[in-house]
Amino acid sequence: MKLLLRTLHFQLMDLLRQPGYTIPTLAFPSLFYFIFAVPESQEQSQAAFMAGSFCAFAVFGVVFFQFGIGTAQDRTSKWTLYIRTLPAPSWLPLLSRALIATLVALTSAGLVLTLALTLTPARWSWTEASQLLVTLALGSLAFAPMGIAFGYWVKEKTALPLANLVYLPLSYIGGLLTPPQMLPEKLHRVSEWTPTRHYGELVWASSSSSFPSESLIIVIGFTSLFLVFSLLGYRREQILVWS
Amino acid sequence: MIKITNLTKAFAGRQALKEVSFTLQEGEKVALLGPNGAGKSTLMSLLSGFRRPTLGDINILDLPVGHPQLKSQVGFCLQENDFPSHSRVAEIMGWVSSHYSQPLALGFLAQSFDLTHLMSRQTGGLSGGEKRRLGLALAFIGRPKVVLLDEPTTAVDLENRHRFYDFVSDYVAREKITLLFSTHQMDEAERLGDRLIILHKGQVLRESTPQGLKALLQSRQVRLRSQVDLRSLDARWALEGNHFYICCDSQPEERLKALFEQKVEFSHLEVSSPSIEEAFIHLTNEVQSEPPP
Repeated sequence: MKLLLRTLHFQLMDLLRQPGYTIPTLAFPSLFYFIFAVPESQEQSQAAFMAGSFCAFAVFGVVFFQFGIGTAQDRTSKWTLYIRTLPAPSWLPLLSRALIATLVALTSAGLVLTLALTLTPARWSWTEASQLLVTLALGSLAFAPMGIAFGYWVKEKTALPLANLVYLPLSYIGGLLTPPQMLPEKLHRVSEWTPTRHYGELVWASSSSSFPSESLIIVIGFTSLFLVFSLLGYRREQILVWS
Repeated sequence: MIKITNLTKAFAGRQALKEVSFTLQEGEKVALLGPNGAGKSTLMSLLSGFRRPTLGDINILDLPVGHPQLKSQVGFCLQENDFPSHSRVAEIMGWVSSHYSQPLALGFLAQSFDLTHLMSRQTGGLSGGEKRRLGLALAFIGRPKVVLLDEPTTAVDLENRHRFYDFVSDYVAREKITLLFSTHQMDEAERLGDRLIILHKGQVLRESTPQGLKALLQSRQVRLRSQVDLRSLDARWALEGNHFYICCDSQPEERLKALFEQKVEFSHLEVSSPSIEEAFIHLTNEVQSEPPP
């Protein structure tokens, strides 16, 4: 536990000294929210829906980039290689990264919520707010395997542009930037096959009485699938580079 | 302490190591030498557990490489160092030391590797030599029993190289740390190594002490200045420049005695033993010139 806390502190300090990464990461979803969603948020339930969408967008972006780009960079990093020689469980850096990604994702989502509470009629009860926060935090678990799988199957130099090509379309088609019912019909049909859409359904449900169990199963299915791709990518890496 | 038995490593049909075997005793300091492509880095990566051997065994402290218990007892400095660029030197040393139950005092390490004035600097701003010194310090931070260093002083300036040599002669010897290091610098191998292992084309070409390697070249070089053309007296003399003559001979005393007897005047006399570098080049050239079996 002590080592995990030291690792968290160590990684967080390194991250916080990179304003070029932290500021855009934290500000991008709230900036998008301010430009595209705040003017449309006139009514309470619609405002809460839009705020939830952009919180999910924030979580997906942070986690996908943290793990996707991070894994791609780690594959060629001598520091990562050195860390493997240290007497610590191999899952420790991964857990630490997941916790930091969750922290950054929740901070980014927190900025969206602050704007929503300040500028729109969106309001949540304590129960709804805690459900929303738990669902957002669990987004790390849902999207981390997707990021890791991406990081193992792309090259370091192409990781960033490709990540953008995945992240923005998936967010849009998933209905995180515009409500799914407002998507063109063809995209709306595609939307139902994306992990972002079903994660969005879980986030939106936190301010309603119904629970989309089907979406939960689909999110778990996608997570499991990406876990398999992550493991295959890891094994491929071990064989190609280290066998 | 380190026991390597019939170690073979093949990459896509090419054998990088062929049946390499050697042993290091407790407290022994051994230099791994060899030209580029000899297999030094492959051997180091197998020792660090990053790669798996095709055949053969590696045991460190009587445990197979990769055993979790080894991690707290073996220190590494990889061939290239890379650190989180926004972390400070003190933070990196502090974090790495938190992995060990009884780490070395950071102040002692910082002093030993001339890092004291760099402790508050972010590693992204360090020079190659400074990063290397940090990498070396990290290899010793957990009071390891065995240390593996891959080209330890690459990019390190002369002053700090000597500081590292002093650290090895003092701390490493006192703590009886078993040290295996690869290097291209013969003076470093001679200064630090109790023993040298020369790899060539993936095989152990020779194991020897530095003195033993130099003894391979029996001859010594005599160099002097004379107005007399010494070549006319003895064909073994060769002209170097205008008036300097050199002769390589296993019995230089005989050559000089002959000059005295012939009352040849000379000055600027130098008699030198072969360097370890010359012995190494001689040895590897000898093998390369051998016809294939």
